[in-house]
Amino acid sequence: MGQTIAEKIFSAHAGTPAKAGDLVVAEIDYVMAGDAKGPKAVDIFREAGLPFRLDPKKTDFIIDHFVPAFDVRWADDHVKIREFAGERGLNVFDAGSGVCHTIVTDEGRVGPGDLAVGGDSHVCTYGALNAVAVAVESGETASVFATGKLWFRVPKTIRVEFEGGIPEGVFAKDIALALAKEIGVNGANYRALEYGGSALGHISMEGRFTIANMAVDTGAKTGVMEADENTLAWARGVGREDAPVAPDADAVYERTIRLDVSSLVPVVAAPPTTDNVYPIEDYAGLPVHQAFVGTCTNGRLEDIEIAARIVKGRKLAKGVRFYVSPTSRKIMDAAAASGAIQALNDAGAVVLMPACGPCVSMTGNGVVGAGERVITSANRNFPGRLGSKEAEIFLGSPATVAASAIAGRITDPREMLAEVSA
Amino acid sequence: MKMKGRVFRFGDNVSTDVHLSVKYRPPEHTLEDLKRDAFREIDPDFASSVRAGDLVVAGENFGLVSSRADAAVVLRELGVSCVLAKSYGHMFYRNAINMGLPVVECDTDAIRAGDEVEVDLEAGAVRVGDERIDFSPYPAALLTMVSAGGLIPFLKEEGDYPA
Ligand code: SF4
Repeated sequence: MGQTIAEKIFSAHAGTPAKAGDLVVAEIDYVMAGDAKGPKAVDIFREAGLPFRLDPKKTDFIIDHFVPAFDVRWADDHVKIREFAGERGLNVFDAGSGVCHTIVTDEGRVGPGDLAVGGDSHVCTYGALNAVAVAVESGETASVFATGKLWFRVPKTIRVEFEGGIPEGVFAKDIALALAKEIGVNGANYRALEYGGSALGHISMEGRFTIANMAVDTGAKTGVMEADENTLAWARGVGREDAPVAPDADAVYERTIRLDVSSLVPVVAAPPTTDNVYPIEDYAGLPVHQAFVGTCTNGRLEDIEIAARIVKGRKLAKGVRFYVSPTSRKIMDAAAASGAIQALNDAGAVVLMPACGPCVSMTGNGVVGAGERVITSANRNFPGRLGSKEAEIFLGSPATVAASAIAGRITDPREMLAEVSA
Repeated sequence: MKMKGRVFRFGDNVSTDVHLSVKYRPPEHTLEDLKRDAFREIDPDFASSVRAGDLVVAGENFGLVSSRADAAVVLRELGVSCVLAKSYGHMFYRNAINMGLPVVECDTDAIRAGDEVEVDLEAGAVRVGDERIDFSPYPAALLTMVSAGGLIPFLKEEGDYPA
């Protein structure tokens, strides 16, 4: 019987042929430990008195949520991380390096065919590199430090076929949201998504990270993309040469979803859930108070540049705050070199340090009050995620966010994009 | 590892909020408080009538929604020997095994409240009367983990997974 990509990756790492439903113990190639859950993993590891047996090169601590530390609690956690890593010779990407998932993909920490875990819901982002990446709890992270392995239940796979050409003004985020609507917030519970299809080749690697990032927001355990030349070029560019993994022609899928991207228009996810997705025209005109381009979903160079292109030579609408956080120091550099940072600053946007920033209120910045409306390139819009439960959070592409920041209301980016390119 | 016991039967979509509702929880609570109120929303007698070895059997999506490890610990502490369901919330499934509560995904349609069932994790079989229901068996390493009381106790005891 044929295997899906996830089944092949789990089989290779468990050293035994595995199919959906099987329980296996698998070798881990990489574990991402952040500043939200990493400190608890350190506590559990220390309390249990476990030996550290993981190859130190297979893990990083990344400090990105609580930066700059705004409470002694987080400062103490950061001290704990630095001490623990220092004792064992582990690498720390310290405050300002960027958002964990961007660093992992851009620094070559994970490559095609890898099995990765991490203490954050959105580790599934690495799936765009043809890897399986699964979010784990702190005790599980501690156990990987001790053994280099973890147990898994091999998930069933839902195949996603992207077909057709991508229309002007439609971005990877629109595709990710359209898929979230199709599947539903929990429709892929405990499944792996496997993405392929003729349209995948038209989506940049940056766009693919956006799509894989939101796998977890359909309830999926992981989302893994087929590898093509772009994937391998990316992998080589960050120093990886791992062999890509393709599904067998007779692989068994629980079901197949075909998404004709040529029929898509710019969309937003309205509160209260990520699958509450509608064409932007349904909400166009609603006033916005805060706009944000950033996060592990949409804070890459392509995202910063499209936002800059839209705001260039314009001014933010009165009463709108527009925050932009390039998600790594390298992206900040490139955006500065291309003039994007200048254009954003000139328009009245505030460029923030590479970090999670105003993605979620736990990170302590950019929270909003009752009655405010936010348009953001982030991945979640639950009421209260950004402070007041009385605030509304809409999700959209960076182009949609930037156009809305300029207009002061939820705005279809296509008109402004047409003017920019004219 | 074999378990034998009576069945407490629940339906689909029993979330951790239903089986461990925060509604009854005093702000300063102990495991005893949580045990007393387990399943109170859907079976008020559960906590007082469950006996060591009994099984919880449910339909689709058992333990949906939350990542609270409590939800698995409480069942284990009440003596529930195993949970059988057609599917699980991702986090509940992982938490249960990590906390030493065996969970099995299998077809549960034929299992009724009060049935006596026998589960053999190693063989991957549930027996209800003359019926046998198959599931993916537990590999040796996971059997040892569950018997040790979960992931961390297992690592403390064994140090590593067997080669
Ligand atoms: S950017 Fe947001 S979603 Fe991504 S890791 Fe940071 S807090 Fe989580």
